[in-house]
Amino acid sequence: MSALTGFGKTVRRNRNIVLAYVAMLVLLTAVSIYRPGFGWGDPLHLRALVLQAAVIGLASMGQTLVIISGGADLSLPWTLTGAAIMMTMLTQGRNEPLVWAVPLVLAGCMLVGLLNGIGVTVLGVAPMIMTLAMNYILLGLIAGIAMGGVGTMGRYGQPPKLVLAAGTENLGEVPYLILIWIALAVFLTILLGRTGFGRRIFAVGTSQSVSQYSGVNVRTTLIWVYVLSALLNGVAGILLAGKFGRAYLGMGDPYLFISVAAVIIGGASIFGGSGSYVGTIGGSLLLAVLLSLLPVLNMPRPFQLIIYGLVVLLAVLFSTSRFGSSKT
Amino acid sequence: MVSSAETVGTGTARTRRYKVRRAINIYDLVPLLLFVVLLSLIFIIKPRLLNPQFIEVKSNAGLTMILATVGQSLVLLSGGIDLSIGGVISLSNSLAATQMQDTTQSVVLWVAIILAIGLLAGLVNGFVVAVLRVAPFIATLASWSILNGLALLVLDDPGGRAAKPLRSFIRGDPLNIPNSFLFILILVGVWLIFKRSKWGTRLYAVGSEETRSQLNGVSVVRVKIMAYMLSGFFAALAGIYRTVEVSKGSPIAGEPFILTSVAAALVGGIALGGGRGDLINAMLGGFIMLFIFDLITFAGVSSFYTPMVQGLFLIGAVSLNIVGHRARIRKALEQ
Repeated sequence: MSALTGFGKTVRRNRNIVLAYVAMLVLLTAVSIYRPGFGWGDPLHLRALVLQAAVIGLASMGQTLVIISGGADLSLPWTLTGAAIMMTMLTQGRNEPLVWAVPLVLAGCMLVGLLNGIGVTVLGVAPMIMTLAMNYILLGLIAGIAMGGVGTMGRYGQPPKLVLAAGTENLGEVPYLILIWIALAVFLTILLGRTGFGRRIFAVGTSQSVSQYSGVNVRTTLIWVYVLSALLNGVAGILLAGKFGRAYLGMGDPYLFISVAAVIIGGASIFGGSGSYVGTIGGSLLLAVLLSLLPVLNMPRPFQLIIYGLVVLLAVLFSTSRFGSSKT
Repeated sequence: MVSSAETVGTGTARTRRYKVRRAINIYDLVPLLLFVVLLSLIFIIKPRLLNPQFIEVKSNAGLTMILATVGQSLVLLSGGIDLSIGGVISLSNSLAATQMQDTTQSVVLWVAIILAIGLLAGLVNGFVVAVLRVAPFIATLASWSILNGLALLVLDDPGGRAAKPLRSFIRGDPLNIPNSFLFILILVGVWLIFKRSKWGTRLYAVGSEETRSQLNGVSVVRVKIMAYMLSGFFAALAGIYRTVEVSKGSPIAGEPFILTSVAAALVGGIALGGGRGDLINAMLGGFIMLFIFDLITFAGVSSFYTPMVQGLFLIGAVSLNIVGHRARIRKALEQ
């Protein structure tokens, strides 16, 4: 009895997350019934779905942290693109330079995050504006380096074999990308749920002044959130270059909207203080299933954008309506 | 704040003094100063550009951006943000480039339809934000995605063309003034009237103190819906103009304007969160972004670096604005 009420409580407290997973499963089942070859009927299709979700989920790791902290990371597209392009340019498609190139690229990403964090905390610029400006700065810098100063991208876009393997090959039947995603998901879930730092992120996202008076160092916490976000976006960029088989200018652009969508569908509030990576995984899976619906229903690709928009609106309306949790 | 002089009406000595103090705040002059400095730099580097033609070239090149920035600024003043203008511009650009025939009748009809679509998109945005109380960032991000999808359904690849009557109307100069420059002048005039009108005052009131405005009998919902509808209207205009500017349509025509319009407005001193700033400064912000591009090209640096400099300007301008606001509050507290 008590176990049941405990379970009920958990469901009620996380109803937006539960909703994302239920919606995803219902859609998937509906597709499987409508087209027996798809969905549950085909393990390969299921694997492709999870792989698609992994791409979205990897690109949404940093966004999850920043949104919980009460901000939004609009510098995601070009942090991701920049990491991918710098990695391919530094390694020139060879494996050996990865040993120093990857740490160098990730350190560069952390510097970007540090500047974001300093802008938000010390200068007091709104997170949306600071990261927007940073996105511009990176866009100019990366495009300038890749196209103007150093050479055309064509020759440098090829990632090394090791990165390609991580993005495209399988361990047994399971793609490496999914394994990496699971490992990072466990790391993020522990970080957010089981560490003091995680609790401080939620505290700062709920109320900066209350956190400050309760002895939380708001400035340090926020700076670390942006550093971590940029680092995770850099990791995602390198992995996506492996998945797509190349790095190219603008490869990160679609992920600004998709990452915010995945995090919001996963039950986070854009005002901060709530959310979880488990939720973001649910959001990523739902977006992946929705994407797979289009060919099944013979819809042209533009419908993807229309459906994504509608789903985000519905998700937010559910979470803010009186049927949802009391927190916006 | 804006209304204080008006509501007192006859103007006691106290309100007069307050108005004068407001007018000389140096931080409000930053956009104008930047505008003049960058313009002078352009003329110093390329003295031969100093001719009447320059106004026409710059107005023609900047009008899409100015229109997008004007709409964005109105929403920013109300305390929101409108990311959907990218979708509206793309959709109206795609429609204008594919649906208009070379007859005046068809052009007028489609201009009306496109403007109606812009107003409708704004109405929906305003409703979702003001009535359903969804965060503006998310609400307009979602509607941007939907509108962008619709634009892709209208036109899946860049193509189409500008209808002849539309082109000759926009590019004509019956008063010997380039039409695009004339339009910017009209915008400034309309803004000066609107700012002092009932609705202009309410816009600033809602942007700076939503709850108190509501308590003072201002319909916050109506003001916000108005702001989003105007934004949709101006974005639709921008999309139509863009068709003539580049002589074709593109389903992603509006994408570059989503964030640059926000950046231009903020460089022009509009405060994120609402209630502070002036549309004229925001338009100057649009031109500042344009001049940065010119100067970088003149300097012989690859134009790929333009966004980097624009980003630095954005951080600098917003930081200055914050410093200015803090100084203003400190001054107010000292009294």
